[in-house]
Amino acid sequence: MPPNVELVLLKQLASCLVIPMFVVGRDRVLVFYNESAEPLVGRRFEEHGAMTLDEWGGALEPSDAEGRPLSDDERPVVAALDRGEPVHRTIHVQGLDGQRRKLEATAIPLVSESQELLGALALFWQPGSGESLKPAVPVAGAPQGQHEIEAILMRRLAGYLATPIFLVGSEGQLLYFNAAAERILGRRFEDMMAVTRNELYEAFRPTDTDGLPLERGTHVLTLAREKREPVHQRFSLRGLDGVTRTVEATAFPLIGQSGRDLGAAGFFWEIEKP
Amino acid sequence: MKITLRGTRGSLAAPGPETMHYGGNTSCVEVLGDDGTLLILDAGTGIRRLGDELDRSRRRIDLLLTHLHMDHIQGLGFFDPLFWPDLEVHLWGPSSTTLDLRARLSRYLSPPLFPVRLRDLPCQLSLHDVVATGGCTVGGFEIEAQLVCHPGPTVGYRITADGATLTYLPDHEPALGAKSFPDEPNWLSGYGLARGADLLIHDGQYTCDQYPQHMGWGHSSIEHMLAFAEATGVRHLVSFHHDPSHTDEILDRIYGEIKKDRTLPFELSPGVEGQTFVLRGAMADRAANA
Repeated sequence: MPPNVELVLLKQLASCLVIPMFVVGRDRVLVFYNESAEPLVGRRFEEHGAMTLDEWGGALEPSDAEGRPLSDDERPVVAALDRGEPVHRTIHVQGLDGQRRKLEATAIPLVSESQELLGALALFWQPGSGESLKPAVPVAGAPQGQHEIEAILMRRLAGYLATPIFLVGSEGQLLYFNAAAERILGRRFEDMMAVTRNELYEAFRPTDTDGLPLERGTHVLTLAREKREPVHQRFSLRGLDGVTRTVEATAFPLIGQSGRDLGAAGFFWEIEKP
Repeated sequence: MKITLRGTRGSLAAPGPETMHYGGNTSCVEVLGDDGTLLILDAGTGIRRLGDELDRSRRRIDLLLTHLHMDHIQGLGFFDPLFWPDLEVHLWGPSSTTLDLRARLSRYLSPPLFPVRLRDLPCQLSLHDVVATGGCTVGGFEIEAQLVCHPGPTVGYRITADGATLTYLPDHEPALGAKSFPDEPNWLSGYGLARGADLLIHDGQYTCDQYPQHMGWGHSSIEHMLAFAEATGVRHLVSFHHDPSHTDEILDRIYGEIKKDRTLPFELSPGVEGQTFVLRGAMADRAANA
């Protein structure tokens, strides 16, 4: 049977990025994690290969803040696969050094444009972890203005998924958003290409959960780039179709090998449909 | 520059009577500059014979690895110049997100996979991460390197000297996940490295029938290779990384049909082990005619 292109793209993308990433099949089998994720598992993926979530979760002993073990449907990956919607929560895990750590976790189901559930992408991070990364390195002059492979893979993956995805470059410039994101914004990407960041901000008027305008520089994609770690946020957005939508978003920086700063990608989802 | 194909086979060495013409050695290309500078692209099994032919008086070799899959490094431990104490060897290649080139290469050049450790090689060895630098200058060669679409950290190289350009993309799957191929130039893996090259050496491992079952393995179908060459406007395409199962007869048939049935905007040569190409840029031609 031909391999699933979405998972192939995601695995190849994950292997290029410094942010720890886990790829789970729809049967709850952990089918890949990248080098940066190895400390969370305790071994290289190549040494063990695929493992069930029980095998993986058992080692981490995920719990809530009170130390109560998470039930299956409280685990972000399981919940995301069951509900078909992204799930974000704070969890506590047992590290290999015996210390318990607080992690932010977002699991994003991979749903194809034809609404087939393919698996999930899971991001786990410790707030502040971006500070321990090496300083950002600008890309060493890509030939002829060509995008780097990480951005190419992210854009191609986004083109297959039903979850709204935005991609920005290292200067915060809008590089791409997929068809699902067009529905949030009320505007096609091709019609946005000449829009500046300021115009984009003014047009969509993001506000926080109290209805106050988000200051420039506090948007999830900007924060992910600046903090060099995933960032989760809830905000409201008024699309160009005049509809205000409340969305949650998890954005992660695209940091490639040798610390190359390539921008950020964000997965957005509506939590209160109009 | 003079380019000699030392190994054109992909994935696995495929010696035997049925591959005598195109060759069975895995990826290795020799690039000799007019000033005598030597670059070696990849260290597949083809590098062994190259090492036996090199003059002992040579003082420096630059070895550019595209990636560390076995078929591209398997010849390294048998490359005799690495055991010459007076030789300066510069080894260029990609690091990964957490490991530098030395650590990655040491996984192969160490027991149990190989009895000789990298650190025990007698030559004066220096390792360089091409992803961090984006390229380098070696003698008269300007070298650009960029990550390309292939599983694991993998670069392609663009090598320019005296106005002539060679692009080397032996393991490359630019069509992976593309809904329409080729894509816009700035969203096409390898485009910047290949555009307008005088000679493009590119992955052409699979037939169209074989590719769907191998999608994501990191290699091109021959059709994708042709489309990529056209999209990048190269002058001459050399197909490379022949599948181990593609005998001389099969390759003759495939490329014979292409040449008979298609009008291509570039010259096409299926890569043959031992084949040489001489590139002379406009600057060299002007100097020659002065």
